[in-house]
Amino acid sequence: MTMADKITLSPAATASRRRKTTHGLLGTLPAVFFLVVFFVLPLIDNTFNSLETRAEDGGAIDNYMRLFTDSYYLEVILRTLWVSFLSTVLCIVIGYPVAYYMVRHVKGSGALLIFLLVAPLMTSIIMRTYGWQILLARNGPLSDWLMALGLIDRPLGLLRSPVSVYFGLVHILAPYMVISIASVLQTVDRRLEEASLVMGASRFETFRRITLPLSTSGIVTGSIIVFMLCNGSFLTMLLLGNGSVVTLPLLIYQQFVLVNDTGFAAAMGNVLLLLALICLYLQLRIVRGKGAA
Amino acid sequence: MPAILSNRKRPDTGLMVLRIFVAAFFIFLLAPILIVVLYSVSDAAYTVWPIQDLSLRWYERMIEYRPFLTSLGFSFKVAIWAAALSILIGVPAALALARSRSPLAEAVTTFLLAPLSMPMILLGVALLYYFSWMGLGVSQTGVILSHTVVSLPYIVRTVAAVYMNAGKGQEESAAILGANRVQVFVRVTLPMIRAGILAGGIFAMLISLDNLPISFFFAGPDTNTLPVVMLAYQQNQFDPAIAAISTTQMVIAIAMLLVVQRLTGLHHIIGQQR
Amino acid sequence: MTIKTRLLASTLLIAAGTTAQAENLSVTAFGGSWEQAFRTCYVEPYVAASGNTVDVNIGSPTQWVNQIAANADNPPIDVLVNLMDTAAIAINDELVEPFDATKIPNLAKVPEAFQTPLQGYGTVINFGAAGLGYMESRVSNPPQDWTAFFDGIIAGDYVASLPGINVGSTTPTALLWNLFDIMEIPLDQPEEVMAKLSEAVESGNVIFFNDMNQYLTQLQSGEADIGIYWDGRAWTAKDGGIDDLNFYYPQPGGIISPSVVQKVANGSDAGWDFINTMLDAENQGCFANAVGYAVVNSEVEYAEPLASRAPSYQDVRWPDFAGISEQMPTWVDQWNRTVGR
Repeated sequence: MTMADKITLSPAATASRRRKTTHGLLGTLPAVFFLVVFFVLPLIDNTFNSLETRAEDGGAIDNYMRLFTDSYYLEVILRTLWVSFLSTVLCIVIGYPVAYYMVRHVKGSGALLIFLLVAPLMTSIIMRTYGWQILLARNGPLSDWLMALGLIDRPLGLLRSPVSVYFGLVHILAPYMVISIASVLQTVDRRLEEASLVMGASRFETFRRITLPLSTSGIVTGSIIVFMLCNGSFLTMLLLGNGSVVTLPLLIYQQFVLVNDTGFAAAMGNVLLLLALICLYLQLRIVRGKGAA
Repeated sequence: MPAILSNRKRPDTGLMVLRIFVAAFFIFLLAPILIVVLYSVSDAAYTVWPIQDLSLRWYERMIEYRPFLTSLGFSFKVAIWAAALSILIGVPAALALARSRSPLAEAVTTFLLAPLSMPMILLGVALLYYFSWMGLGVSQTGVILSHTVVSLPYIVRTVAAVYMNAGKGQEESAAILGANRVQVFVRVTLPMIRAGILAGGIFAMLISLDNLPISFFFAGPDTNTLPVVMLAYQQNQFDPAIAAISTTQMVIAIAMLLVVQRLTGLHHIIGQQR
Repeated sequence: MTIKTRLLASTLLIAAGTTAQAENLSVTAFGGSWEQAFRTCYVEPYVAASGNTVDVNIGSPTQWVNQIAANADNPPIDVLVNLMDTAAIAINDELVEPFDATKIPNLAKVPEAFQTPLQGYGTVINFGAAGLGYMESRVSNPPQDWTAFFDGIIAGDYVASLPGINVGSTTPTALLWNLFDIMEIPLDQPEEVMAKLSEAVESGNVIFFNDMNQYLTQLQSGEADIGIYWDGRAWTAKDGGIDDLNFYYPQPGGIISPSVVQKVANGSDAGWDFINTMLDAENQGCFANAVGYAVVNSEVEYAEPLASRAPSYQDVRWPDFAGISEQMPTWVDQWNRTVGR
């Protein structure tokens, strides 16, 4: 919840909200029903699948035991969460200023900037990766320019390092962050910022105390989307970074395409889903808790 | 109003730094795409950079290879359907969740966002077997419903976020002034959440258009989406025709955004009408 | 005939299992030029001769095998063009039928060697072989045999592009089995092979490709100088404009990379006739010359440039496909823990 809400919530209004608690979630029924039929049921099927092991004498939870008792898989699970976390932070740091600029300083060309923002997402991942391969190559333009500027003295081996994976991830995920933040930032009443400035607060102080808190829900939305998308993706890890970033979805892909052990793939998928849901729930709780306090 | 304030200010270094940062961001965003567009008009099949001769022959090849265009049409059909269905069931859910004080709200929100965290390749396989069991199998309906599952969370989240931030004041005033529920919704609520629906709808379409791991399992002669055809094509043949169809998809998508812009005002995402 | 009698008649016909009406056959194919040659050389002659219609599913084997498995009683695919590793899965999961030579007369013209790896559940239809592609301007003295190639990587003679573990079908045969074979190590003892690969990676002179086309981009952009690739693709690239690229099979030979065809269980019986059409000498020749891959009918004569480039099936090395399939889970696991770090 945000400050704007707190301000408008008179005791009477709160009381009227309370009365509505019982049917407050009625509107979610169609969506909940849809997901029960087309997400939960297939998932249950998938869970049964995860209990089947390749070995004839395998126990029902062997696939899960394999994941949780082997330090290699634990490492991969942690790395998966870490890559998603780091990408999310990078996207916030890079995306917030862009969203802020678009909402506060762009006058006539707003739609154009949105086009530019989403255009990269409308080409296929295969071609985007191809673009990066050209740009980041040892003798590619980036290395050349950096050498010409005297910033480096040897061509960079970016394509072989995890750096290129983050280039690829931030490239496709940052637009989601920017749009999420911008769509919320535009609802922030500028008079609050102006009042703060008039009353003598510095611009940094105004940003920290007014703008940032009021746009939190945009950052949260963007973070959820970026974190989850990153958590489930494997194509960027597959095609960039020379195989240096191995995450759970990539292992799932291997089980399908190379090993055909769908039971183990299903088990990894369930673990990934569970971890992501825990992160998501905690995030929502923290945000709500803060607002309601 | 706010423009007056910014005009009054002297040009400052803070804004300059911000401008440079934003420009750098857009260069970063567009550079790989520019490579793709250039590649699509290069004459050589295996391009050596920088490009020597320009040619449109890969666009001819693109038109000649039938599956490209038919799957492109189907991709947009799926994207529009998935976005529309998601809006239809996602918006009511988002509105309810944004205002609900029910202790269940977080749990329901988490549930509605859950498809985001499922690795798509796994969801694709699970849905293929599930739809086949239902008798839908490899069908257009199957593809559309699958894409709706992964599009829905975007609508729910973006609309809820915007609605949460917009105060209840306006809706309550309208109600006090005698507007009925429908009027309040159409005249007050809808304009308030427009930015959220637009942002979510665009996300939903983007996710659908670029989806490979789910579409892959549902691909057949009538159900091929463009990413699947591109994958199949480039596995055996890598020439700029792939870049050409990629560029075409981007241009069509932008043209569609232009229509949306005309109809609803895309700039509402960044709120220029305020 | 009234609608009712027509319905009745067709029901009887179906019941008798001798549908006289035109059938719709569903077959699979790889995309791009492969698909176009497939349509021209196989589908068109079949349609002309049988009066049936044919739907061509373009895509990838993992997708097809899952689609068949999900609808095993009423499969959406009748004839499955496949790769070796997914063919083994299809056989294991009983998704395909055993071949019946009496239904495929042209099978008699296909040498035994192309049929045995499929254990009676299909045949190879065309094949390429993996060897080394290199840029002539950067590698003046390419290694004569495979052992020298790997030693050259470690010694720093060149930067090599190798298929990464996620490239299905290729890495297991052209890279891993190849190493087991030249190092003379049993397939169930991967430690030494993985150590050799790790050594190559640590030398800093290896870049992996995880998508077929990355290889060409890597060689062109200077990211790599030499690497494992297939004949057909390499020649297409050279003919398409990468003049500097050259290709050869190091000793003791290239490694075969076959496409196969299988008949889906519970699929239409018209599939047999389609497979027979695919194995016809004239149609095979048409396909081979169009895509630049060698085919299996022994009566086919290639036109130039394929005639001088096509490898003989007796010269290429045949990996132990069954053994590889059995060891894959271990190999993938070992790779992830050692080479993939």
